[in-house]
Amino acid sequence: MTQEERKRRSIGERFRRFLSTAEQLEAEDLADQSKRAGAVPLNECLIRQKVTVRGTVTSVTASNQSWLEADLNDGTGTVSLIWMGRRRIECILPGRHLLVTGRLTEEDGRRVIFNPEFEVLS
Amino acid sequence: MNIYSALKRVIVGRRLSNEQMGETLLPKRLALPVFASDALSSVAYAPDEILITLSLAGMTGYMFSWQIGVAVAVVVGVVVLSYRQTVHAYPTGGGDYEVASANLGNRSSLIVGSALLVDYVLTVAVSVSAGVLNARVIVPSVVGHEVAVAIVVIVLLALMNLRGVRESGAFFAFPTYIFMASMFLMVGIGLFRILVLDQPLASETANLTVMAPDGSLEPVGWVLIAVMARAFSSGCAALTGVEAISNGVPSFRPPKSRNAASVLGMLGVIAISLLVGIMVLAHLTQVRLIDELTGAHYIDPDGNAIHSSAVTVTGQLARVVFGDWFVPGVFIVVISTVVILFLAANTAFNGFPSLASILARDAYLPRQLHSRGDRLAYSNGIVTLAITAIALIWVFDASVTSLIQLYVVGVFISFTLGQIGMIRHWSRALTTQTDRRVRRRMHRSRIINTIGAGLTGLVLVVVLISKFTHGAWLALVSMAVMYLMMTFIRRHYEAVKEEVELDEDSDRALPSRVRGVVLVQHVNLPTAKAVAFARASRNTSLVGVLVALEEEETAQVVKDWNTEDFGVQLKVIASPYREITTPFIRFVSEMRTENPRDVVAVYIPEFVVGHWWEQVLHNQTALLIRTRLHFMPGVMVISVPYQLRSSKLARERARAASRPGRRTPGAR
Repeated sequence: MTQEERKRRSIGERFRRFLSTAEQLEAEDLADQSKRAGAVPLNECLIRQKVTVRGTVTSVTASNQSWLEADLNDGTGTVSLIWMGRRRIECILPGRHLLVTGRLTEEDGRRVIFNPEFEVLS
Repeated sequence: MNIYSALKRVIVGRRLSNEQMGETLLPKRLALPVFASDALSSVAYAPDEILITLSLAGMTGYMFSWQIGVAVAVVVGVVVLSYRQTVHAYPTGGGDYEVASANLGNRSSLIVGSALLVDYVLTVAVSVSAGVLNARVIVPSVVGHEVAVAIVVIVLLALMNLRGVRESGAFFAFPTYIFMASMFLMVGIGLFRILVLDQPLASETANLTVMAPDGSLEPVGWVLIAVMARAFSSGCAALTGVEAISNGVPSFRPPKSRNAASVLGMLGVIAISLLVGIMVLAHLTQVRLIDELTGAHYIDPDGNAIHSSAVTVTGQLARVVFGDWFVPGVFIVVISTVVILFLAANTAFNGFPSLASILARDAYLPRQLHSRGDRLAYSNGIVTLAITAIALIWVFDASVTSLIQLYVVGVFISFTLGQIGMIRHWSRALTTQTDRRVRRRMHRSRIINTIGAGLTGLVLVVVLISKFTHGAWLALVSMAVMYLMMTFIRRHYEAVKEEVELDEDSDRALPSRVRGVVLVQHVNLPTAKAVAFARASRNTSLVGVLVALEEEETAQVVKDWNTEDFGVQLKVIASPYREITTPFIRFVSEMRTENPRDVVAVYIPEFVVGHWWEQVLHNQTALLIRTRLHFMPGVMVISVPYQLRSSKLARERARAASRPGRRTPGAR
């Protein structure tokens, strides 16, 4: 967040941020970054739509089954990314920021993108 | 052999099983010294306090000294008679507390309870301070170290009581009897020498003139009456301890009530005769005492002012009566006085814990005070009493004259309420009783209790008026604090009880799904054990969770996990701020929020260690996580212990401690 952007905040906004928890602020920052990267916030995404999401990897599940699963949080929600036929991908690690593109589906009440295209941002 | 358990056994003694409980009952000859030492010992300081207070009126006050002694003796007599009724009617040891709660309701009983608790603490503080003061007569080096000596004495008493009632009773019997004998001999021989042999015995302070504090009013009319009222109130300290017997009835051998009543009777006779005897002897030998703190002072025959206070009445009388022909007599009297004063403190150590235990049973005090320790004594109560008494002595600098101002109020509150309760008790019993002989006895008891209530009520008013500004307010404030605290504790316990009670609408449904989570930090034996147990528990789903702190380490753990092939997924969660707790807690809480009927079972492998310092080195994360998870509804925390080699030592210790008696040969 640059100095310029910080100046533009109104007093009311600053006061609200002052009262927010660290978690809320982080989520806001994530959502902000996602918007600037041209991605769609997860809470606005529709099922069966092709979406681009930017967020951070909160967990990676390694198993002896033949797919890799990771959870991505963009500040407005969480989506599971599943790469089939891959047991591990070197650059998918917890804490990494990714820009992913794929079709959003729903499975067992959670949002999933199968085999998304991804770009590691940091 | 562990050094701590050995040390504890040396100091506290082998613990007693429940069956040995009956053995701690006291026969009359032991019960008298155990429960009466408090009431008897006040004979050692009540005359001092009467004379010291009278000194505020200068020489005029002393003209009334023995009359005040008689007045106090009358009150003692009436109270003893009244209590004989109480021990028959309420033999369970609740004393005034129980009488008040049965007849006057919760509030009165709570007032009695708090009054008595405060007074027990004061008994310890006053008796020990008075004992140390008396010790000055024969050990002058005590002067200046009173507080330290008093604290040491209290600690020793507490230790002795942690050993249990019976043994301390046997230990204390002998000195109490010595005290009674030596005091009677001193009073008897003194009076004999003065009245029969016509010897002019005069105490060391006889030729000193007492000057009232500067600026005090002329001791006539109301001023004199006020001083006398205060002297009487201080003298009423002689009554404290009478209630100890009614609280201690369960410790008597059967027939409990009858034995307790006859011990009370003996106590009354002994206390009255000693008190009156000492006051008369002090009057005849012209003992003069001052409280140097108030500004009262002596003037010797040459006209010089002396500002330091003299030794105690008992000390002066012993010197006068025995000093010229039998010096060991002085030592015997003073030493037995000191010892019995310490024993009086011991009475409180018997009374306070059992009262606290009764209050705890009724949920007015923390539950732990209700439980008996290893030695069948109420260990927690004993420790609490010792600590508060030490604090009091510290604050008041072990000064009997300051402490005694707080004293007595509580005892008289409980006397008065207890007696009023007894009147009600008899009135109620009379409504159903038809046997004429029994009715007549009840009528007589009721009259005795009525007189008791009237007199103690009157004394209470006198004590309150005459001492309120001199420190009694402090006692009242602490009683009020105790009262409020106990009400609060009771209310809390009741609220909790109501909250956890099962009723018809209670949720009894089984959780629909149990989702297991194993906290993984390393791939090692404890983790493997936790995973094995978690798998055997047949949760709906199971996942291992690793918090990624360092990339390389995480990669290694993931690799190890896959090599090990646990058959369980490993989820690696991000930790943006390099800590384990928060991401893990958040992970669990997210699992939790999806379905309210679900339960999350968290398996945490933990090390079992043998030493406290190992505890510091291990399990800190697990402890933190467990504590925070406990606040989350619908989350079960399962600790999977792994016994380190060092824990075997601790286990051996625990096993040795749980084995009754000595180690059996052959057992390891």
